[in-house]
Amino acid sequence: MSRPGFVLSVDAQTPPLVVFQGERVLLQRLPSGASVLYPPDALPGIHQLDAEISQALANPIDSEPLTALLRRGSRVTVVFDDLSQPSTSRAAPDVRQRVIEHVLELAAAAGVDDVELIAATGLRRRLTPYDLQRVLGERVFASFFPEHLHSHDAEDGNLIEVGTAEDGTPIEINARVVSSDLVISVRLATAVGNEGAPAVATKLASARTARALTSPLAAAAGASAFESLVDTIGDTATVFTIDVTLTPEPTGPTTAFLSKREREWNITDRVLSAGIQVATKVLPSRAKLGLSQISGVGFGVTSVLAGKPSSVHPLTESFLAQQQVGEVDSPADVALFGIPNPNGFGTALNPVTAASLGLGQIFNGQAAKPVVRAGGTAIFYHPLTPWFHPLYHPAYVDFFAEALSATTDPAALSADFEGKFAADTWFRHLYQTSYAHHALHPFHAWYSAAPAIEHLGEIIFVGGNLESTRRMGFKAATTLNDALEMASDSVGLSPSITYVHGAPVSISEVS
Amino acid sequence: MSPRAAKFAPLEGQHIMLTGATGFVGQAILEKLLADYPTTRVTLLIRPKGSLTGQARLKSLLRKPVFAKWRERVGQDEVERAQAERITVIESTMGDVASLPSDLDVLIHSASTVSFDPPIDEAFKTNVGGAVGLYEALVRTGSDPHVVHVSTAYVGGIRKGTTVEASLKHSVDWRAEMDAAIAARAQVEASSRRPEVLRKLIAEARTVSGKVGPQAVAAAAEEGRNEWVTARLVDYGRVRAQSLGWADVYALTKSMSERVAEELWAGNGHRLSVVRPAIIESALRHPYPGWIDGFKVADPLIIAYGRGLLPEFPGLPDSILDIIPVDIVVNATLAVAANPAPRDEPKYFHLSSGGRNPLTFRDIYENVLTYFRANPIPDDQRGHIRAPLWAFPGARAIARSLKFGERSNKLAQRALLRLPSGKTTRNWQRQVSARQTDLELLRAYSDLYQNYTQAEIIYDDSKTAALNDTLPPGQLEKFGFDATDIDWDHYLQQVHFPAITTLMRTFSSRPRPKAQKEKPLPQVPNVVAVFDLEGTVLATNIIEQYLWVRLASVDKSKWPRELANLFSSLPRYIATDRRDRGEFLRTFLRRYEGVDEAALRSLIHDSIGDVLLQRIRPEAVRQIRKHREAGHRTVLVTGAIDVFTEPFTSLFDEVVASTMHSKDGVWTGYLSKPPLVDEARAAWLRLYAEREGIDLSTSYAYGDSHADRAWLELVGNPQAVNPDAALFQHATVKHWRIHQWNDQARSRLNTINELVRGDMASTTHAPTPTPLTIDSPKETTHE
Repeated sequence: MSRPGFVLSVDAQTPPLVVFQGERVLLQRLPSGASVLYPPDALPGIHQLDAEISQALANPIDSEPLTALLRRGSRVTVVFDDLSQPSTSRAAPDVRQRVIEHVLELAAAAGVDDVELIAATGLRRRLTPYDLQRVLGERVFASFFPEHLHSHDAEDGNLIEVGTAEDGTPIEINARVVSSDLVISVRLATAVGNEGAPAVATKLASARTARALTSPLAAAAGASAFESLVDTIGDTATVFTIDVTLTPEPTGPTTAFLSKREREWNITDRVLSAGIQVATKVLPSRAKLGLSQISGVGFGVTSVLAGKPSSVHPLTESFLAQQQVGEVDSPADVALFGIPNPNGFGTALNPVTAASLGLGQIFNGQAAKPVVRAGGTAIFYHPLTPWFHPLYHPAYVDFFAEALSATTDPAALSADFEGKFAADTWFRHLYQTSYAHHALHPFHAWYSAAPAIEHLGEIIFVGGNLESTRRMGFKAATTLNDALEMASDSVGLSPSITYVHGAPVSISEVS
Repeated sequence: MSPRAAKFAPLEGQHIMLTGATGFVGQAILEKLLADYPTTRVTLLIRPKGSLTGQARLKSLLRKPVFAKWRERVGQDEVERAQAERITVIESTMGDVASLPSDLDVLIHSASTVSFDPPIDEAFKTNVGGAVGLYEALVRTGSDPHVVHVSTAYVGGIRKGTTVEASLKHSVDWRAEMDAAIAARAQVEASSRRPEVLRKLIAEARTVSGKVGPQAVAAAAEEGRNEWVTARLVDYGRVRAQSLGWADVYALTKSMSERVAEELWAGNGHRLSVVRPAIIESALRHPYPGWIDGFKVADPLIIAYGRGLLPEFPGLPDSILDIIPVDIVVNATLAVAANPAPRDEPKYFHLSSGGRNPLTFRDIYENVLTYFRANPIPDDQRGHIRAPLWAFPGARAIARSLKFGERSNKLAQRALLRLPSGKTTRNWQRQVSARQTDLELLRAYSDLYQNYTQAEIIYDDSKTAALNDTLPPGQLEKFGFDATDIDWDHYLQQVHFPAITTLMRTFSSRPRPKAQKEKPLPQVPNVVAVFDLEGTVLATNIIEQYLWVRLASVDKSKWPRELANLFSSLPRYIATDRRDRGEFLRTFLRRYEGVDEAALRSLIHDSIGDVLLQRIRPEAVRQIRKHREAGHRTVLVTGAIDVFTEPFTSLFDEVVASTMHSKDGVWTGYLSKPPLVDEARAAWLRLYAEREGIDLSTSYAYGDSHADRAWLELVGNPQAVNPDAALFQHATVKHWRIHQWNDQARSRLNTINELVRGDMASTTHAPTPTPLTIDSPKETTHE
């Protein structure tokens, strides 16, 4: 049994604590009396993953075994999570590859010829061949790419209406999925940042549907529109889900100390920490990005469940809930969060993504409930460098420069800019033929942060780029003390402070 | 006692004609006449300027600050009445004088050239020819006014000791000098057309504008010839003046014009007085202390000093800088006018301070230093400029250091033009060109003022003093002109320096560039926005693109050979590119010989296209899209091969690129027609605009290289994007908009790493598995 999460109260003896700030790792001394929220230690990973997968496929919940569902001549589509969910290992095959290899073996044994693999990207970018190889392995890739292995395209004409939402919005889903007999969904979930979407269909909808249901102007709640699409999609397609839960675990011995509790650091940890401190100060930014690779966290598999989605999802959710910090006594006046840059070569978070990621933790973080009270202050550590990936973020560039400089209000953004972006042929061209996120992606990222912005009184970024913070309606501070000083107007001179230790985890592919 | 003592009313009811009324002294005289000589009528000889008639010029003249006090006192109605009843305007150009009124009592001739170093023919035409025309016209009227000829103290020439107020002693024949000066232009024009001169000019033009194209070279050569002619004529003037004993052509022609007055007017039995003011500066009292009309002779020097630009200056500390306030000059001139000289015996008056109230160069320096230490000129961002201390090391030492400075700066400038252009080099370039401006200024001042600041000449003004003594004591305040009245410390500190520094601040505060805010582009019909590709929209070049193609298509084992081959040819390519863009393209594209076009297309579609998209500058995309939003037609024009533009085609309304000649789908390594670069692109754009009904004057063009100059110049809104050194220089001079768009979104190495790793696409799983067959490039370039 792993150690549960716990709350540390900072006193004079508390050492400086690890705080992620983009590519840097800071050691920050917190004011006395602040609470530090440590997540529970990682659950032990599953050692015999292949056995566990076979077992889950053979004994699904509320469903016939997969072998029984796979019939000669049936049309099978495997949909799997894209890089919005972390890859599980650097060295060993990704869990998606291992699950899908099992599925494909079973399908081949059952004589199913018509198999197609689709990355459930939603409005995110297509996966590059390199990404696909990384996630699915060379063997799967070689046999299916490119005709039978590709990413979902929310813009092409190949989408079929399967129903309407309450407000009459047509719900259009990927045609291949709808026309299948069996849809096998390989779904990854982590405790923090779990999207909690009941239906795989949300990631396979058309841009039009996604836009209508995510719009801040729409009355209908987006997710409820997909409720009828959990176990079946359209007339023929039955969904069989394979849920894999992940837990963060240290990637290697060098940086294991970063997820340890600072009090328990030994001499080696201290030396390593000092080394990283020096390195982040001295190294040029490009080399620092490389450094973030070693200081990251990896993921281990904690459970594999298969079966009927509506039966499996609740089990997955409750399993994940174990990994959250239990109840927080009362929400604090001020919450502190560190935001690291994602692992990956030369990547950095763009300011919009970083902000929405940080703010996403308010409602969807380590704790089940917001750790900061309504009208309180959230202090984030991130540089918010106004940098955008040239291939992935073209729409973000305009969103940041044009839309956000005009307004930060979701309703106004939706009314004034969404239509123009959605109809933009250049963005559509880049989304469909290159590797750009959909033009609506920045809007949805921003909308997702909106409830948190609404909830909070002040949002302050320590070390934040002034241009970025101004543009997004936040404030920038150089140090924690400055930030607390700025917050004192709304939360007083001695606020209660909670630091949420560790990184928000689902950041493997947000750039 | 003279009857005037009872009732002092000089020039009462007289009719005065004034030339040069728009000049500094002229407007001061006019103001004084209007303000303090209520019964005097004035006729002005005004030269029409452009579309402005003489009357219009008078109207705007009367709005100038010099008349402000008077207007305040008498009211606008009185100003208009005076303009209507007391002033007559005769339009005339110097040397071509219309008929003059025949009832003149006094003529004050104060028109002359304002420049000290004009080309010799212009100086003679204005200063000598103007006087000849005027006096001949005056003789023709048959009237007999008293002529007051305004000259300059410096007609005394370069000499030492005291100069007296008398006719100049020299035997120079002004007619011969005038003829020679006029003839000089024809000679110089002729010799500027000699092949050896032209050849040199073409060579110079080619090094500067060779990349722009042949037309630009020709234009630059012709411009160079005109500059050469002017410089020669200036030199003719300066050296001729010095060979005759005058400091510059201004002093020479002014003394010649005194001779003209003596000969044509006094020589015909008329009355002539000559006034010779020294360096005229701001008013001591009238119309108000410190009134000045623009910078005068010594002022740029003072300002340059205050700005810290003059670390040292060639001047003798004990030499006298003969400054005289403008109101003293005006009063003296009008007093001379009111006291006609006897016939056949012209009178001469020095309006100067050096004789009785000398101001040494050292005094000025100390005053300037005190003033600027107390009232420093604010520096742009770094507080205030500290005025330097002078040691008066002598002319030679300064000439040496100036020469050294000029040479090293020229070298730096040349070196910078050869360096690859970047943010840092552009900054250096800015600094060097700022320093160049300073040096040029210093050089000009030092050449110009040498004769004044090293003067050991003293102008005796006893006749002027005697004239001043004839004034009734009660009128001295209003009409006096005693140079000993001036308290130099007070005049410099309280009156003159504040006046000129205010003037400078009003000048420099005017064109302050505002922070450039992003504005939506104007929605104008028939506008085209032309973009260059490499270096402008795309942060890459065709050499890099070639490298990507090779690395993505050949086996890793062949890379070293490939890279060695490419890098060893780089210096040659760079040299070719520096000479001529088209030649470079032709030479380099030979490397694509033997490429299967279909295979390359699919390679670009699968992988290279995304690398190209990575290299695109986000600001460029935004700009292109902004143009489209404004309804402009966006056109991409490039010398590169069309297949490489494919990823961007949907960004533009039109793409114009080169195509390779191919045989059975395999490229031969030759272009199918000449590439659209430099002037070829300009010609294309002209034709395109005509055919499509585009208004180029409201259109936009974006380029990065000097080779783009020719076609950028065609449009109304040329924009330099991350310009190379030569284009940067040109854009700065022409006030083009200069963009600094982000270059390094991703490092070049990362791009290559991702490309070969297959981040963009897998080469092993490309839908068309035909490997690219490019033979290892042979040395196929024949030069």
